[in-house]
Amino acid sequence: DTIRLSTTVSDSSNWVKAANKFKELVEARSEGEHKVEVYANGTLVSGNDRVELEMAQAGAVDIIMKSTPWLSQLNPDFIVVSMPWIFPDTDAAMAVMDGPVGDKLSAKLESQGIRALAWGSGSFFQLYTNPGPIETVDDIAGVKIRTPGLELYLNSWSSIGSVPVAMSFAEVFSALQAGAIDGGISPIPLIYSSRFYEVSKNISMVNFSFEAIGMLASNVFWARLSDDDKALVAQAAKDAMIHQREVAASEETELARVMEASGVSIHTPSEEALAGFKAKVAPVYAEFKEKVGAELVSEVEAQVKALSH
Amino acid sequence: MELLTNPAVIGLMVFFGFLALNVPVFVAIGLAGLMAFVVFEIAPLSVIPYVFSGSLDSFPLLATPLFIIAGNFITRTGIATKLVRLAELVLGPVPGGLALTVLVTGAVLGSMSGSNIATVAALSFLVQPMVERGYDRGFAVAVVAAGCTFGVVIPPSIGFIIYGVITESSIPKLFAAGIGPGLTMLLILGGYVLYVSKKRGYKGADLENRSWSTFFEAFKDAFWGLMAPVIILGGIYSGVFTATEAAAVAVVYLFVIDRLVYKQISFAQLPDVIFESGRTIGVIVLIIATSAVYGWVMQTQGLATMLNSFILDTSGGNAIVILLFFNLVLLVAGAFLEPIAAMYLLVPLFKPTLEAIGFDLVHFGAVLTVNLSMAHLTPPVGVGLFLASQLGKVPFATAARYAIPFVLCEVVVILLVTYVKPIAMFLPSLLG
Amino acid sequence: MKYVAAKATSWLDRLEKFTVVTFCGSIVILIFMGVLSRYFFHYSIAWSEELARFLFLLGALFGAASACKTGQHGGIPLLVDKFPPALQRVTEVFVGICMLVFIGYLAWQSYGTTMRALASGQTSMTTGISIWVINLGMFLAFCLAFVRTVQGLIIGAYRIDKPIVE
Ligand code: NA
Ligand code: NA
Repeated sequence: DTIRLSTTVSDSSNWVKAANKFKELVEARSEGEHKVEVYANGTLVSGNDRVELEMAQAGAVDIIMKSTPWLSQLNPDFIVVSMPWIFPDTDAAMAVMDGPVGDKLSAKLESQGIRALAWGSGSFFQLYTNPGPIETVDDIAGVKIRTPGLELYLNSWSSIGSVPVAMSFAEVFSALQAGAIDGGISPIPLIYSSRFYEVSKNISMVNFSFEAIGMLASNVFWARLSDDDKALVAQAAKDAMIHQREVAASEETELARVMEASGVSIHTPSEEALAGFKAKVAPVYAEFKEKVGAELVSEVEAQVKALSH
Repeated sequence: MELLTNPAVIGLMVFFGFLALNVPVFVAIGLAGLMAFVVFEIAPLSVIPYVFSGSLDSFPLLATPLFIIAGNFITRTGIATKLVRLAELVLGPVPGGLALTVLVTGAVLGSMSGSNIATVAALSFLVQPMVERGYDRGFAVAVVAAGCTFGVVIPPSIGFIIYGVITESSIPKLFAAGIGPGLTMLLILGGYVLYVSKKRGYKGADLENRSWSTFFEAFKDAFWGLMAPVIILGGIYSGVFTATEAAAVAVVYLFVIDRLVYKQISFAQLPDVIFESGRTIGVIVLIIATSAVYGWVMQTQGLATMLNSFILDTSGGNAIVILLFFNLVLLVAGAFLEPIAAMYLLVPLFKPTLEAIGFDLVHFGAVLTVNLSMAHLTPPVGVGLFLASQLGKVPFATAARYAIPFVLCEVVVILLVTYVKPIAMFLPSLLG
Repeated sequence: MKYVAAKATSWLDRLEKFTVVTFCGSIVILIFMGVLSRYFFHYSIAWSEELARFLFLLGALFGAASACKTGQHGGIPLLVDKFPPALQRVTEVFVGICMLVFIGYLAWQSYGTTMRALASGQTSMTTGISIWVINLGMFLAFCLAFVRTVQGLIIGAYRIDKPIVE
């Protein structure tokens, strides 16, 4: 059988490294019975994330890799992962995704034609800007920053005092260069691979919001597999995403060093400074806690608290 | 041979078969793709509408219908006539003056927009004045289509940004590498236009006497029209709006100027203008979407991989031959695919080889961009040429015939950019 | 009967024009408003970008459907121009069948994409528009294209000896 795996991120991303690991594992463990074809850059889905999700549901592609903000299009509960500063670090986030909350979220997808095989780390959103460095929340006042078009992000950043701009990703580089926007939020690997650091010279490590990456199988594809193959594919996905987490962690420091070498100044705000950000975002946090469901959010908060003890 | 039984290659033959029987271009590509899905069972049938949806749900594409509307406004307000008069006063008796104006304007507009077809939309209002001056309509349309190919070569350009991301090369350096090739294109195409105009007797303007006073009068007359590109370029470079947003600003600006100064377009006529451009863009998007479907077939059937290994086997590692082959593959792929789709398909395959032969990736970015930019001009799937023929009201086949010499000129440019390194690399080398 | 047909056609014409004009016209307004509010009011309208993309997708497809009636989706008649008239009529029928097969297929499959999106309840990221609405729009555009192609074939918009549209 030939398994087609799609992702919209570029070849150099650690997502694709995970996909290639998955390919290697499935092909070796099935002794060549299954072949995996990895399609990066969105070539299988016209570069369109919305369509990629639809194609997975329809069985037009076998496996996709998608971040949790995109999955919130299918089920709003996934927003819980994106709640500002809900996770203190990647380990806590991954523990929640591997635990009962992750299982609950995964189960919701199944009635929509998709099965979550494993979760990886999409890292925290950091702030890249041209004015800078952004040390305290006052420094960001009135600064135009591009955020993905998720209501939670937009409301958070306008509450923080900046001017959030929802702009097509394709135009961000030129807009940064010309000054139509002053910056944006992205995980470090994406700031690097999209080369925003060539035209935006300050990065503030605010750890604003986390995203998890799901390796997701189409139910149509899943039904095609024997029970043994299901076990094989599921295990390969888990192992591949464990590999991805390791790569992501080591990459983050490595990429920061590369960007610093090319003239980017990377700044980590103090705890007090971050508290200023968190205070401003508190009303939005409360609003979305209600929207997503207080029970679910509290469950995550409780698990995070238990982990830190 | 394995290559000949590849569904993508068979699809190509089917495509040409349909084309020969006068089947509309989008149906010919679409059915060739569909054939691969049905006969070779390469994927579920539901893939095609999703590819349609994905390839058209794209922000940069939005600029095209807006520039078509803007071009329509320029003509209807009479600004077109005023601009043409001014250009003719400046150029005077230079043969092919208007055609040269199209090329230069294309380069200027191209410098702001990253989109070739948006540039065609903005330039096509010049077809009618050219016809009135005695140019063949097919030639006028071909000039407009050729004028658009500067669009992605001269920075800024989404093509370079995407290439930079795929190959992990510096985008500012790539932008710098586009300037030399862009000017080379302008020079060579301009030379050809001059030559043809002399031969065919496309005369310059000798309608009125050229004096400073007439020039100033014409300048004053065309002032509000001239302000359109000034506002657009100024707005983009100062960061007030982005390239796509500029198209909407242009439409609103022209409409407001007409309300205040020229009063040629009534509110009642507005729907007709918009409807007309909606239909034109409709014709174009079906070609874009179906060529994306064919790209899907090429991608999944490993055609590019096959060609790549064929090149490596036959070239014997000779860098000059490899580059020649790469250009050939780009040319062929560009004839059927949208440039961006072709880039995603081919660049990851070429990259290891380029690194092995030590060819600078920034330099190759310039080569590739010139080559794929030309794809908008090359039949049978030259989207820029198709749009120009629609807007210039010429059968596509006629436009294609007049476009061929321009394609040959651009092939010369590609070879120059490939083998004469300083054309592309002088400016980036200054960036260190 | 003829009266009803003519009435239906003019009704369809008006609906089609209204759709294309509204969708394409809104793009101009949306994007322009986006610029104004960002630059002058330091406030960015978040939903304008996504909505403009959806309006473009549907506006362009309805525009494409409209162009089917006028035969604007031209072929390349270099070869068939040399055919005798009788054979030309045959190729015209062939072209008609090809168009209807492909457009019919698109309409059929878009019905499927609409139903799937309806079942899954997928929504868009920023505006929260249900995706089935977008897919339904595509389905309707392809249905219209099918009807317009039939009309075009009847009124002779795809005649090879007919030089250029309109
Ligand atoms: Na450009
Ligand atoms: Na082409």
